[in-house]
Amino acid sequence: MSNVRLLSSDNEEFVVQKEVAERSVLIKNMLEDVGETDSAIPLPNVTAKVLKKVIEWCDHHSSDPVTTDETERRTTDIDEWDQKFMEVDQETLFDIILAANYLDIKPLLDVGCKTVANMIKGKTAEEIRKIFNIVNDFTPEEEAQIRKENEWAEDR
Amino acid sequence: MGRSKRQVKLKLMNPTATTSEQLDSHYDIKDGLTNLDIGNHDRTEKEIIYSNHESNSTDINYNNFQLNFADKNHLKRYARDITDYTATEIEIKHNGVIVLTPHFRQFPSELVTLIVSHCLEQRDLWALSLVSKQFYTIANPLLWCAPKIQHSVALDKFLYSVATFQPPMGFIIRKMNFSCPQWNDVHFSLLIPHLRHLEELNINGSVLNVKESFRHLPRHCPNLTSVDLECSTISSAAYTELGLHCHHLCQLTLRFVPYLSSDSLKFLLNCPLQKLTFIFNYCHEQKKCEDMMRGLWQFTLLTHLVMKNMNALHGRLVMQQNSEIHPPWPRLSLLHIDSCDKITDSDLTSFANSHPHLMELRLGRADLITDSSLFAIASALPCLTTLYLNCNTTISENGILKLIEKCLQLTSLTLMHCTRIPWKVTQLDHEAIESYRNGGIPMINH
Repeated sequence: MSNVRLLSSDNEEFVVQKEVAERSVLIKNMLEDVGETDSAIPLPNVTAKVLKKVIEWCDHHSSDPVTTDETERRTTDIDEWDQKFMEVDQETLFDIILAANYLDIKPLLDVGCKTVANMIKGKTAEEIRKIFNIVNDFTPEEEAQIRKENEWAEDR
Repeated sequence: MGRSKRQVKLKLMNPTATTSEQLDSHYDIKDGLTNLDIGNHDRTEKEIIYSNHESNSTDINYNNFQLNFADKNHLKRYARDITDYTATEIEIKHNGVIVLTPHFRQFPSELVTLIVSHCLEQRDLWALSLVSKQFYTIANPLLWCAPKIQHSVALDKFLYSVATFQPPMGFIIRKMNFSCPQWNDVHFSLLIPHLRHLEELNINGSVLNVKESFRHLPRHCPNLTSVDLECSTISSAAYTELGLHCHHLCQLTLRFVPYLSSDSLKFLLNCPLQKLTFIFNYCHEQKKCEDMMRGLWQFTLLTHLVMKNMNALHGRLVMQQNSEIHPPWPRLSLLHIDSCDKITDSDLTSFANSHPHLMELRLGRADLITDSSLFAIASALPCLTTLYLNCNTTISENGILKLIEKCLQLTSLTLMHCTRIPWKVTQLDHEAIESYRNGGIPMINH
């Protein structure tokens, strides 16, 4: 079993089994293009803290079959291990999602987005802003117009 | 008082749940600190007070870390350390109060799109559209793409929005499902001019009051690709209009349709129809129905054909328009006829031979067919995945064995009320078929 060396943005090196690293389509393609390499693969967008989590996920899921079924991907059920895995602070959660996006690990990206989507379900706009620390940048007039425009969809 | 009680206040402006949880969990490891007050969770500003009762010095020891209250930089590092929140602004006031202001988050739009695509409940999209400009840009088109109107109050508000706001919201709509019983001709006429980009239309259930207005719809919606209609009251002129204007229509489902006149069929030929479903009303006009069945061969692009509630003679007509040299539907992959009482072995054999791409075959009440049909299917349809037969008294396990041996793609086999079939093989899924093929006894899957 050959290993791959990954270098985080803060210059920490991780040695990972090739099949684990290849859960990332970005790394898989890179390895296919470059062939066997001794040098570490730099990942300038991912910090050591996040990379460690991502590797943990890839390791646990290294033997999963690849799902392409859209409907399965869309459901909001998350398996137990993943749920536990995603019990991190919000900052880390978003960093994992961004890293999964950058590294092209679709199933991890889905789990992350589902976790966030579950936090959004049933909330009001104000509650969503509060949870995610988002600024309301509408003027009162703009907000009133959107409220009116979409009033039909308000569940009452 | 004096130096016996030192306080560090961590004041959180608009704190997030995360930050306070983090502070909470950090409390455990800070031995020298007691009396943690997280404050009232409902307030937007929270003060977190660490007090030290014992120490007389200005420093506190915890985990080999010396905290010097006089050193602001030191305090700042400490605050940063325990918040673990890189984007947070930390300000040290003169009285030792630390003010933490979490940085407002700017998500990359790509990320927002991904998250929003996992929240497809209309209510959630509605809330998301009101969060911020960025969220509005992403959630609003999704909200309007397939609006669901649940009741008459919403219906009025919806028609108001469609008619009032700029840019026109109706142009975003791609899919409409009319299931709210309040829709009538007036509502419908008001709405359809706004549905310029409608692709999927579904009119079902108790919506029966759009008889007059429906025929004006095709003119306004040239991009329709899929129409599903409960059409007991829709005039035949509407089908003519569909044929005249909707040149992308590839999926058509008509429920409770009496029959289609040869004129309607002729106009519908302008549409590239691939999936046709007819659920008939009992037809009193046998002749017109027969004409319709004979006209179906002209839809040469068909991949799916479903015919339900029909007269047995008509079921046979569908299959008989076949000739081996010119199969009517060379691409047909799904055929579902629920009245096959009159279909014979020779009808089915010749049909199977000329439609080698069939993957799904569902034939109801096919009582005349025998094992010889199953042998024919086994050798003519290598791609078959699903076979459904019911109410047959002659087919036997021999035919089934042949079928399973030859059709290697078969994943679903259902033989209901077939009296000579042993009960253990009446309903088989992929695994059961697999084990049956290898000589095992199939698992029962009821």
